[in-house]
Amino acid sequence: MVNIAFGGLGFAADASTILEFPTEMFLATGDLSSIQENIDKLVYGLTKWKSAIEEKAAVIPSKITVEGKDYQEATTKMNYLFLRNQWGDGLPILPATTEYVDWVLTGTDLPRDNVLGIILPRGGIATVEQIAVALAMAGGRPEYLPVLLATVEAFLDPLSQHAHYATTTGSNYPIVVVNGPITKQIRLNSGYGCLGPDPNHPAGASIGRALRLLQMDVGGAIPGVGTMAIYGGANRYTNIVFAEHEDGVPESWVPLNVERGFRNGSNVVTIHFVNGTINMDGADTSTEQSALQVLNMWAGYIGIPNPNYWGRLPRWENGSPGVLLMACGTAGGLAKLGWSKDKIRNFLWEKSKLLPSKIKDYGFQYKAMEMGLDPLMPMPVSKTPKNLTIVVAGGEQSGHAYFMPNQGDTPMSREIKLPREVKWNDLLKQAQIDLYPIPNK
Amino acid sequence: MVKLEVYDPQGNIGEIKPHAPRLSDLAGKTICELSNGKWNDDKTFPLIRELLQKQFPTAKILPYSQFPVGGKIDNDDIGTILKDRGCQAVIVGNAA
Repeated sequence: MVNIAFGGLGFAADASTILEFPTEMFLATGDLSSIQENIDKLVYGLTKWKSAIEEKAAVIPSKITVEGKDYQEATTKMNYLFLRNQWGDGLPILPATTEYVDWVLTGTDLPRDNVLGIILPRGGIATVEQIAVALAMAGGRPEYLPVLLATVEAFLDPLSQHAHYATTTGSNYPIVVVNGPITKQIRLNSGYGCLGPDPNHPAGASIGRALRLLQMDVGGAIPGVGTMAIYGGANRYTNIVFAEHEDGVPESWVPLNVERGFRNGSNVVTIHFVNGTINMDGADTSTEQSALQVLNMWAGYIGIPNPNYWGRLPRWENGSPGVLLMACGTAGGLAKLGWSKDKIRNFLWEKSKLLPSKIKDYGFQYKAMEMGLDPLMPMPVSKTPKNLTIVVAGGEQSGHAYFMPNQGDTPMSREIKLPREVKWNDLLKQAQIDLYPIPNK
Repeated sequence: MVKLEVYDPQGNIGEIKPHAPRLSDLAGKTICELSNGKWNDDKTFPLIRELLQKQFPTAKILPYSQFPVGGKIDNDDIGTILKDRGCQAVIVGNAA
């Protein structure tokens, strides 16, 4: 853990060889005797210790060679080697050979050594090439690369605070909503089972898994070492990457990319860090009465005593309390009854406020005060109703809606940059050949 | 035999900076604490402070409560704050 923390700051990682306190010390019942026993080592660290690295140095890894009697054996050995080195996510990965990575790189016009930033806590460099390596390991294709590059850009924006959300004890994970014509071109799911898994729409899983591999391998987010997430979870394998169902967005509403300040029809990714998915069984908005019942129920789900709403002032002010997913039938019903997105947000924001008696029961008075609120007044889940994110996605029936409570700071969006048109069209033609047309329902 | 040559998934970590030179002695020095606001800092720092003060009675130890705490210790101006307070050694901690 200490190695990774030092590495992330660009320092030689050998400082942890002096002394590392046991995890037990930091538990509620922590035994502090190890401090007493090791105080001389702490003094040694401040006075006599010398790092093995005394001058600036660069570490450029060489490629890894694995041999086997055939391809299968070599691939199996490579996977075991990766597990031994704490690389990957524990599931089988594809070999990121020169040929495979070169092919993936045809999905961008950016040079392979272009740096998008460093991924913390380890501080590995996210070059275009390294991002393509992760996408290859995740079984990706070149036409997925533009979405992944835009996602990594958004992920690395300082306002995203990705280091905090990588290392925290909370088991959050990024979700990426993609808008624009690219979603159909590369087969991102926006309909039934849009959060995956889906063999007809493999792009979301590959892109999301590639991001996770970057978080773990380049960023060092290894459980108990680089990420202290108490539980982790299945969604961490592939994060969640899906498309907004733009054809299902009611005419009087605008899709997420437009709400985020981009033009209608633009290819855009928007990233949130969430820490769960809650299925809300009930989304019938065919009458005014049923719509009100549904909205009240959703407000109940949103108004859970989630300390993360009030965990950090920047999150409360500029972040989203969560992402509300509703199917096009539900959205259409609401729109027909005169509910705009803003009207829905205002209703949910008002109705999901935590009552003063509950603020007291949960001991959240100090949280209210940190947000500049009066703990004797109902406490909203975000500074304004505008903070709540609404996305139209999911199967066309109006049976359920989803709420994904946010743990992150400011959601970030980036426009997706495609390679030059001729190249892009060739990639899409090849994808059509390789993946076959999606069968009719 | 089949030989697979694959990219290192960790990539390049760029230029590594050396650590600051150590102090010759803590006697008479100003030692500062920075807390990342995590578990038990209210217990570990006071104990470390007490033990250090016992060994180095002339050292001046500035508690973490006199500095930014939590995420604020990542701010770019933290180095200036520490220098302005005359810190010659810093103990940063103390849990993930």
